[in-house]
Amino acid sequence: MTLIRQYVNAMVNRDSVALSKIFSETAIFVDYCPKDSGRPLIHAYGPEGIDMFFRNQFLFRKFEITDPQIVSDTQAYYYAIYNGYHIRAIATIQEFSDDGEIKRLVVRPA
Amino acid sequence: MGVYIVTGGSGGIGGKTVEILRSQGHEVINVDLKDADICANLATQEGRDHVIKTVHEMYPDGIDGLCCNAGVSGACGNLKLIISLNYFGAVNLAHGLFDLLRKKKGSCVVTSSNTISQGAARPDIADMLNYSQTKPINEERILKIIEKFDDSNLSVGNSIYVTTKYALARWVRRVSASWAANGVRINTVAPGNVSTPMTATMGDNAKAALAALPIPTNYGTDDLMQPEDIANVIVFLVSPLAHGVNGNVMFVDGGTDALLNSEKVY
Repeated sequence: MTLIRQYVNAMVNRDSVALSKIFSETAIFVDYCPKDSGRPLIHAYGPEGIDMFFRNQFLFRKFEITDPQIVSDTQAYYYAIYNGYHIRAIATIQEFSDDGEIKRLVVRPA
Repeated sequence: MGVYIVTGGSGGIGGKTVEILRSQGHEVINVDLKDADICANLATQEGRDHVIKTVHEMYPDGIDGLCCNAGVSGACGNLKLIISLNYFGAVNLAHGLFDLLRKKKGSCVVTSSNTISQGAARPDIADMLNYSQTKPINEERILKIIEKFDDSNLSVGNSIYVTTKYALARWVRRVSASWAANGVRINTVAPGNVSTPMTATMGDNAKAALAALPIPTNYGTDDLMQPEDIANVIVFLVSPLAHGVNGNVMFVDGGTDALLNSEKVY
């Protein structure tokens, strides 16, 4: 299964542990979409940070995605929902680690 | 050695603060509802006045530090108590003892909460609190508004709790420059989830909610912050070692705030 599909599956299933496992030790996750709703961007570093950040977001229902469409091995569209505010987003894996994990994934408004 | 006043010093963070300060040889007065050097209900103006009068009688030459730690959680089921104790119990007492702090160029530390950065505060109520100054009539007005809220709703309780802690931190920031110009430093600590007798016996749902506020320094465990983690920072802030620190909101949460709000560097 491609990493982008694993990413989408983890997001849809609200599984922070599965999400964290596809990122490398020095991975960076950046999501610029919240800026469209007047909030700061999301920046999470490393698998443990990604696990903890999204555990919080998923449990308190601050964040979820819906209607995902995988368009390539590195990109997927979806509606990202931040505290009920819907934004059409595109997630792009920009860099892989030598071990084939995600080293940098960026989400922007689509 | 100095003279320090600690509210809520009969247990938890306040208790550890008393313990550490005493172990350093300081004279410490614990102000609490019971089992204290001065027993008083800081949720009432009468209780605050009693403490202010007693401390003035005991230490007319001044005090070196005041640690305003007494408070209740959002789950206590009494919204008026949250407002009166958490906010007015700290602010009114600090104002009442300010002249004694000024005499010895002392410092004040107020206990807030790391939840202040998580967006649950009610800005309207926080504005009312900060606008109220220390006039009892304003406290009464706010309590009349609060009594219309649903105190059986835990999220309302949490929101009011966060509001009082946010307003406290903002009050500290607002007065800090003037107080420092008068020789008195004032700062606040913002603890994360701390282990208490209550958290030791909570149910699975409550534990899951706590786990959703991860403590990075305790990653991979269910451990909460320990009272001494917070107390050590309070003792530092109230000490002369923190001479250059004023108007600061210091998060003592093992990195939870940095995790959830990494873009807020100021």
